[in-house]
Amino acid sequence: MSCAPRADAGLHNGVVPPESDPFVAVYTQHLGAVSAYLARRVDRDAVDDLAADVFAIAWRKRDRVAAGEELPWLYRIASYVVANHRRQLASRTSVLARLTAQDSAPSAEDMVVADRALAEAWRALSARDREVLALGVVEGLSPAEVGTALGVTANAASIRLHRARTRLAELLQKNSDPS
Amino acid sequence: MDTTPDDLDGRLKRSLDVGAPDLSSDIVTGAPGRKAPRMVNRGRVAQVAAGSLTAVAAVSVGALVIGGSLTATQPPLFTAASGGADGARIAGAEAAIGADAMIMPWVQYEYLAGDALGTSGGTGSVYELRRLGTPEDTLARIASLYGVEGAVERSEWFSDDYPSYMVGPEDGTAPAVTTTWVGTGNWWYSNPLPFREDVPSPSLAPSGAEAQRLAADLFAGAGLTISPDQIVVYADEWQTTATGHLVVAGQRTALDWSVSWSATGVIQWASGHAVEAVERGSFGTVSARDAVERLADWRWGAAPGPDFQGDVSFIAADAPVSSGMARTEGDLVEPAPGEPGVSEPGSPGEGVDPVEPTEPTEPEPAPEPEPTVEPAPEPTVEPAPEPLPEPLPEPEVVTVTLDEATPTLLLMWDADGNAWLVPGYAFEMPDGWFSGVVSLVEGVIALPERVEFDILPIEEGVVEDR
Repeated sequence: MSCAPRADAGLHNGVVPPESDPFVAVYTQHLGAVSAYLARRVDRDAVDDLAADVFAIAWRKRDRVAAGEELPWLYRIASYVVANHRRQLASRTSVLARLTAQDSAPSAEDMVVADRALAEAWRALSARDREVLALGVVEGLSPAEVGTALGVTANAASIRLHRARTRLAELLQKNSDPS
Repeated sequence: MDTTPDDLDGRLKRSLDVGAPDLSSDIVTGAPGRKAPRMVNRGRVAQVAAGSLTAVAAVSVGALVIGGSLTATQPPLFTAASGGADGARIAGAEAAIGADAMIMPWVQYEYLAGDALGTSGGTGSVYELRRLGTPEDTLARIASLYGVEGAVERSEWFSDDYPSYMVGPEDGTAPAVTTTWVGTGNWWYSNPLPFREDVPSPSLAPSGAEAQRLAADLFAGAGLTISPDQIVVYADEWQTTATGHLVVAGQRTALDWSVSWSATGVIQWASGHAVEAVERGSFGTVSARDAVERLADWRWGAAPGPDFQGDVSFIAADAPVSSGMARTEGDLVEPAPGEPGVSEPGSPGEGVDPVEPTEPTEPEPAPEPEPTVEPAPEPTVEPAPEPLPEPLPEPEVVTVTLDEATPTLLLMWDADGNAWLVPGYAFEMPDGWFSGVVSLVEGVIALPERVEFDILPIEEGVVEDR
């Protein structure tokens, strides 16, 4: 499905009538997924604003995405938006914080506190492992979709996912080992 | 406490189930009218700033040729590809630079040669990976192998620079085989399967030894003779993928053939090459100690085979080298740590990804239905225009002493998009990665001019105000 607007889409003050544009029909379906993705990574009160940025970018680049790949592509855009948001927050606090690479993966602090052992193991994972697990397990993407979201092949995504799971399990095991 | 994979997935989902606010559809309908952060591709900007990317300067001829295969008066065997010379690596560079260089690179590594590194040079053979046969014969054979009907035709995207051919439809509606007859004659089979939420569990894909056997037969039909026990199988609940690597002079190279089954048991994609390795001579090589200095110059980087992890491209993030580990359950192939040549890259740690974008001049046609097609040049979000403090913070310098280097064949691309196997060293990095450095003495190959990718300072006003 092409998401390019028709010439007669009838823009009114920059708002596209909901029923008339394929972009709206396709991307509205992904509002919930994008909201959940953002909510796992930023403060709740930032989700709305950042989601608007994500879809604004998606609108401008809509002719570049293959049909059926919209959601993993939205995640990819969202990862940059999250990383940028975190850099902005960091730069407002200290120069030192700005020097720290800002990633887009859910942090241990984003986790529900109840599973403390998991949070500790999660904290020890690399950002790359956290992101691939978040996409493949929590967001529920297939390896091909994870690959699209990360900009790698499906095979590479499968391997990363497998290894990240293994590392997380090892960390959990290590943390629970009394020795 | 042992956690099963299902437990772990469940725990992860519960722990990150933080709830999400309901978003208004106005966010989508209002997208055209919202000023988004401006998308700037820093890689492209940096490349323009660096000037010509295809200018090549032959390295001056120095001491050459133990073995007499190349004299001081002969031209270099080939000119290595530059960062700007090929489309796929540019795309990878842009993606990596866009994604990672936006996060300022505040750590700079300096490499020192440890006392254990060898101090003697030697010799090593160079192999040209020459395309074999014709695109028509190759595609006809692959199409027959995977049951794709139809004649070999030029793809819609055919051009003299990228002669692309297909059997089957280009619109992804049915199985198809494609090739772009450049580089290694990479071909790709794709079977667009309908999306299913309820994948069979357990997977109906062939397991372990059966996948190895089936893959060995398929690879043999596609020109790669390999024994089943040299094939690595990766599996998860969605797909099972078997990968074999070209072996030259007893070494597994970075060039791989793969076949993947979906959980329904149907082959969903496969890929391979149409090349033969032609030895072009024996040449002098520098010592491991001398090769350490080359780590600071990305132009000497090349890809080791799956027995070594690590990406040797200056694009650190996602330029992959084939490696793999099978899942440690069921009757899948179990890698034995440190056991080369069978089913195990031999190293723990972060690991390496299969060969994909290191094939520089083999862009996949856009209508390729294969889900691994890159959707677009990756968007990069411009950071906020925060003024930098004065003076600019210096990057942290981390010194790494290297004590291990393994001679091996590395996969290298030339400026014409063709592939070569050259002697080099695989250096083991502290975090478990391996970095491949070409060990040929200077003059055997020509290196491109250095291209400096400046990380441009954040500028006020670059981001549009909302």
